[in-house]
Amino acid sequence: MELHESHHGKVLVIAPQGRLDSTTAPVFEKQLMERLATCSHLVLDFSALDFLSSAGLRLLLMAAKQIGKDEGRLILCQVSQPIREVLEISGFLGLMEVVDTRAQALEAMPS
Amino acid sequence: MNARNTLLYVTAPVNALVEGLYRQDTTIADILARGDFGLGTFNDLDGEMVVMDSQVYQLRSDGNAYEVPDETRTPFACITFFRPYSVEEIDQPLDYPGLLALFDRLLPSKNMLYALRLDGRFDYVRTRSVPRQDAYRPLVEVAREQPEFEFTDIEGSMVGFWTPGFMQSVAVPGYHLHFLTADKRHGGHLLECRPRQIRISLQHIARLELGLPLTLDYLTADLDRDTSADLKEAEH
Repeated sequence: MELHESHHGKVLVIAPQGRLDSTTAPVFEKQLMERLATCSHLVLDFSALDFLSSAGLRLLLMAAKQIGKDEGRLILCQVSQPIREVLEISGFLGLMEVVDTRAQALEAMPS
Repeated sequence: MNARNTLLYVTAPVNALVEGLYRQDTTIADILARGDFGLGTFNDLDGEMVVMDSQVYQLRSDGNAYEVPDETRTPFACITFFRPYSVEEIDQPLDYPGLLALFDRLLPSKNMLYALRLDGRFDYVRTRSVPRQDAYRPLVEVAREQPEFEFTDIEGSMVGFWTPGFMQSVAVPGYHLHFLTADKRHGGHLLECRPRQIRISLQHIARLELGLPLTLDYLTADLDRDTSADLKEAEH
């Protein structure tokens, strides 16, 4: 899995590419938690994410908890239909802020 | 099916089983009306139960699997309609601690119930099946005499659940899995395994329905004892 990162003011955008499953989650977890030590507003752009398993959901929960502690904000964007279904079936869709585009996510973030 | 609509039906608190209450009134037909996937045991502790794809298997202490008539009764079973939303293909050999660590990475939160199914090939599987018992003999004593079975280079499935520790009086806490060989002829309560190539399917379960048996034994039993140590020895 590759992670594409960009900074937009106080906001970090991470776009994971490939599969987020039990094999790739440990690496993503380490990198994500390192970034969240210095950044509390995160956009996860899922446009290049092919697969999300429950291991990935666990990471989303960890990120949301950390960001909540820091009074930051987590927004998901460009979520494909199969991944949206995983979020919906697992009950996570109601826990996460999801918008359609990266521009909408950045606009919703504190300036 | 949304996780909020998923439900685990537990026919009776596991505490009652631990205290030796091995007869209740719930039939196999009753549990099949509540789900197509699960595990448990049978009245008089007559073997291990596997429910998979709406079929019920009785894995007796001879290590063999038997068909189960609808009127057969169970003192303890956990059942759900299994609709996994997450599937992982594992193509590398794992030892048992490695498998448990993998499970831990698959659970988004340990405060939830999960149904787990494993299908594939295992280098090694060790199971046990409890022998038929008279009532009132504590489960921990029975478990010390349970026949164990070993399988090598075997194809099969495991069905079971993760239950949070704070629910230990309701169902077996932690990972609780029963094994059935692919030919549906053998299996038992999982003690240890080493998977080689497996698929792990997982489902959240956000609601729990607990049956409280209307039997004289249950209604007059003292179930206040802390049975966690007994349960840990008997089930793991």
